[in-house]
Amino acid sequence: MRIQKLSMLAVCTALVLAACAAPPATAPTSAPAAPAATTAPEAAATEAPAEAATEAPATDATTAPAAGAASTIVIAKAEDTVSLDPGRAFEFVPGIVNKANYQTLVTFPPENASEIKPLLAEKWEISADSKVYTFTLVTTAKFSDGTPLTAKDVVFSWNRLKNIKGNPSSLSGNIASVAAPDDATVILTLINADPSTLALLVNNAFSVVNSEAVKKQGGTDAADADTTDKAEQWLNGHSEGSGPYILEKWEPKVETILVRNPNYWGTPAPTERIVIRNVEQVATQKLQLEAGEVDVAMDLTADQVPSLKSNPAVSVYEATGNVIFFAYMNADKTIGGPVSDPKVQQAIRLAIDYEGIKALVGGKAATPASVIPIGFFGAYGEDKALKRDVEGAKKLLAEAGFEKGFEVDLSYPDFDNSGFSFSTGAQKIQADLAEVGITANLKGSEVGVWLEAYRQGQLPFSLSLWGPDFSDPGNYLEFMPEKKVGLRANWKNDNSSKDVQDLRDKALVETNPDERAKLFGQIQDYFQQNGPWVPFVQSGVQVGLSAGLKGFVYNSQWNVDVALLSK
Amino acid sequence: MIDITDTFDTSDTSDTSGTSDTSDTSDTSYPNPVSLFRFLIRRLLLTIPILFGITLLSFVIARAVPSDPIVANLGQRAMSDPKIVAAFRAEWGLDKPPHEQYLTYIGNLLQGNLGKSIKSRRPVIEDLKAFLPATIELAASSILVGILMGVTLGVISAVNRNRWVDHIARFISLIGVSLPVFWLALVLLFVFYSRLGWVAGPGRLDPGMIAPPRLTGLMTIDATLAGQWSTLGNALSHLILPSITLGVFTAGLITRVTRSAMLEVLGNDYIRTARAKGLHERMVILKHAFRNALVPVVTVIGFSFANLLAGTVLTEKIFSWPGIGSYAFQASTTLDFQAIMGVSLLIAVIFIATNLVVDLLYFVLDPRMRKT
Amino acid sequence: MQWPTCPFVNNSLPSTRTITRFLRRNPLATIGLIIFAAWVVISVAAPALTRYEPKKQQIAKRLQPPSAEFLFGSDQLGRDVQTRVFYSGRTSLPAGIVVVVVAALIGSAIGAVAGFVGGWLDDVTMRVTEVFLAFPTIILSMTIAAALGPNLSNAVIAMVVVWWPNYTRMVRAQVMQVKTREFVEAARALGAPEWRVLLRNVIPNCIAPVIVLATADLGTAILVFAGLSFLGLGPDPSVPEWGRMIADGIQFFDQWWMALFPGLAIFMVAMAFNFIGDGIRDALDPRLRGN
Repeated sequence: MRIQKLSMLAVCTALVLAACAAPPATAPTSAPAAPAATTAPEAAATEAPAEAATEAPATDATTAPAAGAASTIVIAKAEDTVSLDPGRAFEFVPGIVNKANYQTLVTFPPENASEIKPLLAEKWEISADSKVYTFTLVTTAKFSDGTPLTAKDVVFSWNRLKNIKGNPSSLSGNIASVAAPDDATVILTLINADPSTLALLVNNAFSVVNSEAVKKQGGTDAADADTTDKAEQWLNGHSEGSGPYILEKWEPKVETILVRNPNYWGTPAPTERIVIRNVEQVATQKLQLEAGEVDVAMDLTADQVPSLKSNPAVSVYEATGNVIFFAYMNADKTIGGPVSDPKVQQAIRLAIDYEGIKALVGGKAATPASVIPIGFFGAYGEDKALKRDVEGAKKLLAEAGFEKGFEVDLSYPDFDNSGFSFSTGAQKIQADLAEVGITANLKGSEVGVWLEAYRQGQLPFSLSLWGPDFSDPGNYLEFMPEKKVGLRANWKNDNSSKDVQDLRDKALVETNPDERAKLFGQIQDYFQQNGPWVPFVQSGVQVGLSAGLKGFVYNSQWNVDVALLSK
Repeated sequence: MIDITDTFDTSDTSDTSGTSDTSDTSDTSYPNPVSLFRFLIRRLLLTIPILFGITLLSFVIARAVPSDPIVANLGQRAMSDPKIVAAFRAEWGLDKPPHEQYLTYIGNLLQGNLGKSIKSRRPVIEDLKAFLPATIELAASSILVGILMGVTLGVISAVNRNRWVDHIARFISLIGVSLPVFWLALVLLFVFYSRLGWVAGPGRLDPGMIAPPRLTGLMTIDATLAGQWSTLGNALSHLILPSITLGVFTAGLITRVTRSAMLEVLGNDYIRTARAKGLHERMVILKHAFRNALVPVVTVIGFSFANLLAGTVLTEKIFSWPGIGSYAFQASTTLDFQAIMGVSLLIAVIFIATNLVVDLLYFVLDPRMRKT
Repeated sequence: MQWPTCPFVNNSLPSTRTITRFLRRNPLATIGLIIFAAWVVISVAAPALTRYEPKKQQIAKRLQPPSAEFLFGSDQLGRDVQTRVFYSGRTSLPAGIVVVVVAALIGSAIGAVAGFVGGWLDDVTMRVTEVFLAFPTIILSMTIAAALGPNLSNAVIAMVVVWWPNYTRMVRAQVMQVKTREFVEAARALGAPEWRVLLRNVIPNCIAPVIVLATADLGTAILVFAGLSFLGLGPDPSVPEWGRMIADGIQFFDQWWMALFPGLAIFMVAMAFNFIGDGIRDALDPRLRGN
């Protein structure tokens, strides 16, 4: 009963746990351009696999899973791997790799994050105060070396995650304790009740590692593990998990090779070897796909799609992502100058050519109505998005005393994400602002350098992005005054209205879905007229697939589950 | 990337050694083997302050920048957790004052420890071991292309001085040094890989190819040792475009130096004597003239090789070549100062070692040196 | 083996007659001069030679192949590639020239003082120069440009920082040679102060080789500047600049025109400088004379 209710809640909130927010070039941050919960599954179902199925000979389809003894599938993706240690990995490629090599207690369905499904845990119970989770583990699970997976491995893995203080350790910040009363039971105690806990546990960071094997390699879950744990180097070359694949080798900046786990406790994966090649240029990914050298090209841009569509040897998976690209204006007058003026802020919102930017990004990109991605619970659709109004913008500027416009620095991190090039986008916005008389000087910088200024709230006017930590609009309360993103724009209690502060305080605690929907509606209405945010595009996802490939399903959490792929 | 022939024409090689000489234009006397040995030892000792200077320079630049390696290497979410930030600072010694950080670095360096890369989280020495072979393989095949094209053009050009063959050869060599490598790489990829499909594209092997067991790290040699002939063929195919890209520039430099060295030698008395003795012209050119012109040619080849190791950044980026050029680019832009220092030191060591080898080669190649 | 310090028989600047004779004998150098002059004209007269504003965007007409409307095609923002290639000369040519001129001035000044004064000052200067020369130049300039924050002036600064040592070494060696000459001794004997001897007697006799080296360096400077810009370390992307245009073109492999034309432009300009530099070097190289 309790389980069912929870999955219902999960459906409502469509919890997708994706890496984090902001720039991925250096860090995991931005969530993968994930399909917005509503559109993606259909796209996945209708486009890629369907096409693949018609192209492939009929016999192939039936024999594929059993056969393929020496079969290999090659995936092209820009490698961002820093570590493959599940307690330290926080990037996209490790997301794919560790999904195949390790397992978590609970998971999502292949195609979306609509519900919580059992994996290593067969069932779980949640205490009345929502602070204690009791999991019952499956008894058949075993690691790749044949040893059985028990509760003590879970305790070790989660404590190690918390204590090694790697990048993903922050995900475990709400854990008070983990205990294993017997081999099949895990008791998780939280500091504060959090309805997104199960979705959080889907993250690869909570993968269960073989505690004996990892300890043998210098691993520890002790409180001082941040200085004493020595297992990372080993885990970068060997997996110690219970997943359908094992890590054969990781050669940094070249490739990561996975082979089928001979001791897998579930149904064996159809393909023997998975090769994830580091291909940094998207143009090269396309060429290699066309030449048949790779089966999957993960990072295509929308501009590459038209010429691929005419190629019968290739199909393209397209969906709307869940990363929001936005501009923000510093609310602090000493930093923002003219752009801290609410009238100027609204003028800038009206000055942007949203249609043009959408055309620029292409594919299934959409114009969001606010910072909450289309497809999220409570989010407005594209129909409610702001429209460009050059005259209105000019009028507002005049009212604010800037008839002749002004000059401002527009900062941005110089990299590409989810098919969006910040430098191209910044040039478009610069041109749009020029039409209303605002001269924006472009200040692009290396991501790390930009991030420093961003974090300290020093930028007067900047572009940024936000990929959700999980697919719940509650994640977007970070954009409110005094909250994490709000502070980047120096948006605080003393320079924001009482209205928006009230909305924030109510939305943070409200649990009733109807009330939440109403509150988030009011927040979105407010953001369309006020505040420092100018969300301008929600980008698309394009994945190129060879025609013979079967089983490709895009998931915003782990991009692709390679254990489903065959050809 | 700096045009090294300029360095050549205007300065003497021994200058790097720190011997302050007045550098007049006449040939100086050459040391005998014993003094040559002493000279080399002295030069080796003098490289030590240079290496320290390099660590200091990179340290100063990497630490004086208005950016914090923490934000470049921790995610936004992790960054807002003070515990994680503190652990990160302690791990990399960033909580200590800069001079202490530098002394710690030097202390470790003297024990052969280059520190850990912040970005890759691995020991820098491991990273260099992993990435250097790919660059060496590329630089070696590029220099081969450069020598074949450059020496041939240079000799032909000198022998036919001021005739149309000379003009064409010079024209070609000047084109070589005028092509932006990153653009040439694109054009070659577009034409020969994308459109014609004659050669392999980016990377060291086709994506589906299984790499041979790593012994030397040089793909061609490892494949040969393992007897994987199709892998060898594929690796060679992958080397063609990047080697041409880099080789064309090198060829331009080598042509220029070969030509002027040949011209100088051809004007000498002993060539006239050889001709007067009725020796066949081809014999004169190859045996007498070219041999004596080799010294400056070897110099430019040595310098080109050292320069190629550092100059592969752009080419490696376009060809997805997993070498130290790509590594250096990543280190520079993420301000990963341990990695910057490590890669700079490595290249400087190779640069200095190449100079020494070139000096030794003079001894072998120049008959006048052996007589003394 | 020693390379001659200065490849010039006499160190005075050439007369107009020498220049015309030089050009007649060096068809390549003449071609180089013509190409360079053409690019100067194109850059200056860009507004008259193009049909659009360099920053004019037409999203509806993005990524169009070359046509009567867009001679070199249009880019990802629907800007005219031909316009941007032509205007780019206004950025790249001055940038390359400024780098070489500033590096030559700074480098020569340091080298002249070091060579003239000698002693410990000379030793220290030379050690520092050696460090800069042994430091991989591209890594040094990438790090500096990335650290200062990418823009036009920082790219130029990064390049100057790695460029000066060549001039220091050359001028130092040159000064050391010139300062022992009779006319310098004579000036000293007449009681002229040291600084005056340096400025009046020594430096003027070292200028010619600096100018020749600088000319030959211009082509390389243009290429390196474009390379930095290609890596995203140059001027902001709305400013038309060849290297950055090629970097944009990499993302658009099917739209070959985006990278082809700016690349040809860099190539032509670098080639022009190299033709001129090579001609001068050839004409003045003593080893190649009297043959």
